[in-house]
Amino acid sequence: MKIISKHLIFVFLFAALFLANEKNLFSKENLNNTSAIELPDISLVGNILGTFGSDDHLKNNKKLVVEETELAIQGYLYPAIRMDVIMSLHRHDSTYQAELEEAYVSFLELYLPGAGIHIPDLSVKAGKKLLDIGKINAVHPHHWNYVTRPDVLNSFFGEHGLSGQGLSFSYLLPAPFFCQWDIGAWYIDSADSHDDEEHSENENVDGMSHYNYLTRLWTSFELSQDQELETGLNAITGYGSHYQEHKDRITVTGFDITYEKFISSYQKLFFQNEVYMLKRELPEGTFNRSGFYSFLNYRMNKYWDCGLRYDYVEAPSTDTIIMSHLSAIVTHSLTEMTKARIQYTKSLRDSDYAIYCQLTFGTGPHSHTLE
Amino acid sequence: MRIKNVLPVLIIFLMTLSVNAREKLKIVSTTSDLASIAREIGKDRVDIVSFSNGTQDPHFIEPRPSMIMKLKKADLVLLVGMNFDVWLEPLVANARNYKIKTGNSGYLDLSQGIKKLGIPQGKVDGSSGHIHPQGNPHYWLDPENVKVMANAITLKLIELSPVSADYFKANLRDFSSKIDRRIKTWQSTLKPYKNDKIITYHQSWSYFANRFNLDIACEIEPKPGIPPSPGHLQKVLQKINHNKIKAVLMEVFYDPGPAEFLADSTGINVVIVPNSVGGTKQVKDYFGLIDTIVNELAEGMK
Repeated sequence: MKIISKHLIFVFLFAALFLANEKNLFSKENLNNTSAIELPDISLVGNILGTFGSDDHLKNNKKLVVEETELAIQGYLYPAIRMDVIMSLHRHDSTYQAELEEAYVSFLELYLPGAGIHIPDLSVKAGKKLLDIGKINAVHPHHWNYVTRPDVLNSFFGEHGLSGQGLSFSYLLPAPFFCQWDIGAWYIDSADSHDDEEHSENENVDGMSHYNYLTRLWTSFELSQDQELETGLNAITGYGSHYQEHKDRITVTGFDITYEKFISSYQKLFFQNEVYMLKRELPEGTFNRSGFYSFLNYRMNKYWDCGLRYDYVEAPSTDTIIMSHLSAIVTHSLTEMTKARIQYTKSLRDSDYAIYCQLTFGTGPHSHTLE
Repeated sequence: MRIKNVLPVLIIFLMTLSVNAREKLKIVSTTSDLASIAREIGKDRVDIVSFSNGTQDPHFIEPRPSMIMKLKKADLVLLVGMNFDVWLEPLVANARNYKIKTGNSGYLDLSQGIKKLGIPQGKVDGSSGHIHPQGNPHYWLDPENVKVMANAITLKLIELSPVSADYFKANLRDFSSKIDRRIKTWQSTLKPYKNDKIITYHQSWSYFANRFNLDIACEIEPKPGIPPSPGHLQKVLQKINHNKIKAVLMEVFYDPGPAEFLADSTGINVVIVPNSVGGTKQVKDYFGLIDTIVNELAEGMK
């Protein structure tokens, strides 16, 4: 991820804290009419992670570290135009780097006053963002129901997910059910997924770079008042994260399916799956790899969740390396944004295991796009 | 020959059906209570969908893509406001329906015009629990407030469908007179318990208690949205014994465990009632909701 000036981040942080402490802004009158002060939503989210595992190469093994803090500034610029800017201080090799995670403007409907153009079912996003491929890539880690990124996303899209700079269009198709078609063109800096530093160490991770073209067809069906089924078809084509070195072209296609059953006020059954097929074209030949994850979660009550995730992936390297893991996850929710979580992950191909203890915390009006 | 004769009639019939279908205003409400009130005013000239069904904790409704399609087709969205249904915002943002965006003609925040209770003083943050900066949002539990809400809905429906103005006004008159009569009945049922103390689980009964002259001694939750600790339950227990409190009033979706502990320790009656229409199978409209709450509370206070 591109590193921007640390000084700039601190200016933002200082400005946010100044605004948050400004007594007049939070007077009773202003709280009742926040729009009058034109202040964007400001929120801070943190992620503390403890890791204990049998593999000495495991990141931050036998340490408790602040993995990331995220500052989000969000708000409307115009009736149907909103902005989302998300900056983070992210731990890398025992230091913290300031990163611009996302900064994009969403035109919630295409409307150009004076030009006679108004297409209400078409929305446009421009800027830098996590790409809308599948269900998890665009979701920030503190919103996941588990600690670690699924292996298939890690291997095919990089350890920090696919993030790019560009433009995407979303069209809500005139169907009786929810059906949205996304297409986008994105420029992905290989530095965005930190693959520059990590590539030499981990051949199981690739990712993408340069110009990439993405499409997704997202549908959702209300099976009953308490059941929902979502499906997605995804495809992205472009270049490998080390194109200069390997001259590789990559195409990833896949589908996702999510089932939700709302059992009672708080009880919920959640079953999510993403399957991807990767085609990597190198000068010396083409190879195909595939992978998927399957995640089952049961929310027992307002405070407790338990889940199981199975991961399978064929690494996108020239050698055929297969990884499969089984993870058990227990989450305790204090608030919507403050959660304590334990994840036990066991490799099914060797004796390696890892235990993760995570505390995510947040304050302020924080939101992400509909997931 | 016969088909030729029937066909024009059939076409005209189908066209009439489609015109009638188009004339119905499509309304989406965040809660079943708002849907019930709007149904009393709009009757057969509105189609109403509610995003919550009364058995759910309305603070925690999860937005789903299928809801986007309902909002996309809506002429009007009704919400409680006061940060109660904040989950609606991303849905409205994705619905591509200009009419229902904040401040537009198809957006009605029913907290406007309500005299709000429980507006926090000073700094609002997580140390106060799940608190609403704009005040306590459970205002629909005061039937007098519902008259204000019904009036606002009527004005909005008239704005959206002026041809039905007389129809909506007549329905409002019927609804208001019916609720006035029922308020007298409900007040008379709870009159013997005037100024009596009760315990509630969550800070959701302030408007109801205010209307029916009940005194909420404390909540089972130490702060809104925070589950009770054993220490806090001991304090509540002492308060019950000291004040000879007879009833705990709580919603159907909260954990009954702490209230049952208090009942076992002190003999206090636990009154579990819906706080929204549809919270139990018997509660089919707003009148049924308040009937249930009032009658079951009166039984518990004996």
